[in-house]
Amino acid sequence: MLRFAMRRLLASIPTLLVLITLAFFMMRLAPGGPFDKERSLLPEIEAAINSAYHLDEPLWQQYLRYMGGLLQGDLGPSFQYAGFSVSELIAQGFPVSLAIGLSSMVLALLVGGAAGIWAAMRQNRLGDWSVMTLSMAGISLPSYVIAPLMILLFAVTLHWLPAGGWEQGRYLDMLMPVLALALPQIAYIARLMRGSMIEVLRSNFIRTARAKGLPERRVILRHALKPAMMPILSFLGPTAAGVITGSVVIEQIFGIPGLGRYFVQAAINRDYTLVLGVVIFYGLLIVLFNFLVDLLYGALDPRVRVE
Amino acid sequence: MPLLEVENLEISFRTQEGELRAVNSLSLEIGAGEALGVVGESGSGKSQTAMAIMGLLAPNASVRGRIRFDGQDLLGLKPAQMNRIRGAQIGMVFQDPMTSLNPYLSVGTQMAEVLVQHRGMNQVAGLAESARMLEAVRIPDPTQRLSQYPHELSGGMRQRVMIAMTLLCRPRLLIADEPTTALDVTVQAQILELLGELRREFGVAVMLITHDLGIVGELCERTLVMYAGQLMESGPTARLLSRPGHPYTRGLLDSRPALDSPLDVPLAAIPGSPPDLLRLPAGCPFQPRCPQAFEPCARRPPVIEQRDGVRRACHAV
Repeated sequence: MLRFAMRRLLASIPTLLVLITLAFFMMRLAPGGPFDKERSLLPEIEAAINSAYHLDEPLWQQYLRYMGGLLQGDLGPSFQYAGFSVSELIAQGFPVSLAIGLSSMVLALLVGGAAGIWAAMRQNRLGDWSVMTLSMAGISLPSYVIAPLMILLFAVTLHWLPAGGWEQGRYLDMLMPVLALALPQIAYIARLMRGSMIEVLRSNFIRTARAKGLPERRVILRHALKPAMMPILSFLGPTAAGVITGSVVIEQIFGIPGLGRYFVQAAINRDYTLVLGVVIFYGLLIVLFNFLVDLLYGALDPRVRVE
Repeated sequence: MPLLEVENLEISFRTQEGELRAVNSLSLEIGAGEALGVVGESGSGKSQTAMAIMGLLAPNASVRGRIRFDGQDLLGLKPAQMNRIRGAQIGMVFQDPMTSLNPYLSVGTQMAEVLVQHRGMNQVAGLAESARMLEAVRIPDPTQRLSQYPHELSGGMRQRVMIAMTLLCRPRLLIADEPTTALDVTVQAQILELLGELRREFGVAVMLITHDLGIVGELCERTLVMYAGQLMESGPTARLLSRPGHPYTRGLLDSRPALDSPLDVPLAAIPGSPPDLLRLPAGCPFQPRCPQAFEPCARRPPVIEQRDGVRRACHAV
């Protein structure tokens, strides 16, 4: 088990190295730099800044310097937020994104899973048809449409919820962003669950379970749920990594100080180190979540259990 | 009163091409402790008959006629009532032991839940009883097997587990749908022998569905031959095997290879193929392939005649 974990971790290092290198040079290929302003600076000030951030060195030297820092766990200073290191910014934004992302993933799994099972049990009947139509809408409607509509309804018209903002993670503030973030995931999981459940319900061992006189409830929950979960698990790994690192759109619309906002702002501002920091963090999370999914596979399916 | 009484059973499926008639006006009886062999090629309706008895037909099926088990009309039961009979009084063993057990649950979990469901036992008592039943189907180290998963067992072992699982509640009828088809020949013989022994041990009636007349001879007192969803001939197995009356039964017997048949003589086969169940002919369904067919066969279906304990549907005999 421990050896399996170690092997997986070691195998992910080359992937991450390629990711970091590509991101580093792609950022530098983009025109402009972190300190380009509409009004150009005095040449001597610009030179001082460039030398302070080592931007005057040749590119390969900057790359080596960055990688050297990375080996010591140093993501470098932010170019945009003076006085903050990239690690500090991530440490600030991530808990907020995590709280919202995790809540919405749990919600999506519960609601989407249940809706999918419900639809599968009514295949091609009205209930099934309604769930699938709704979920098609959920997948098609982008969050930048859903989120403002929600604000319009729940905040502006009904005055039930705050339109946005973030006061130390009040539950009321979380409600709308969590819901907006979860809706497409609910829709996606419902469709995935319906499809895989229908397939599982056709298998021979489900026929056996029914021949044993088990009630339908037990056939579904005890015999069909685990195998039907497998495709959802594969979907969940990368999706969860993406969702908990924060959605740019959702965080922008609801004014949430999460990680997602940094990502886009940093890219626009050419905040080289912050972009790289977020990319590395995201990459690490994907590696971690795929590893967790593999562990869960083993926990669910005895045939893939690792020795 | 027979244990199982099927009367004028009609099973049809609504399909996109029209109504598929899987079983037509089929009647059969199984007495308590008796073994009946149901023989026919694939598509003859033998498995669908079993599924109708179990109440497990596909949602697009419609059933007419009567299925009486122990005096109770099964077709009129509510799902919850049927669940109390399935697995408790009627057990079913399926063809493919590789896929018929749940790969995600241990053998013990799958067995014990039957007793928890029907006998109200707790998990511990259910596992203990399951271990005893595994021993009864001659599985070594039964306690250890309970914690294993289906993929850790061989095909023959899995079929033994399936049989043990269906016998847990001491059912009065065991339906075995091609229980040995997916197994190696040597294992086939072991499983058949086991079924025969268990039948005597538990006094359970058996409905053995197969395409192999040889298997029927070893286990069943009576045999029913089906073709295109209809009864062709039924009667004592020994009689059917030694003096087949229906041309179809004879064709089935002739097309079996024997160990001593000369190598240079080709195997006799019934020419042609079974009729399309969506467009059954007006007369006898076997008529187009029948060597003895004559004028009335194509026009009207044969009436089932009973003589000396043999029922037969044929104009020619």
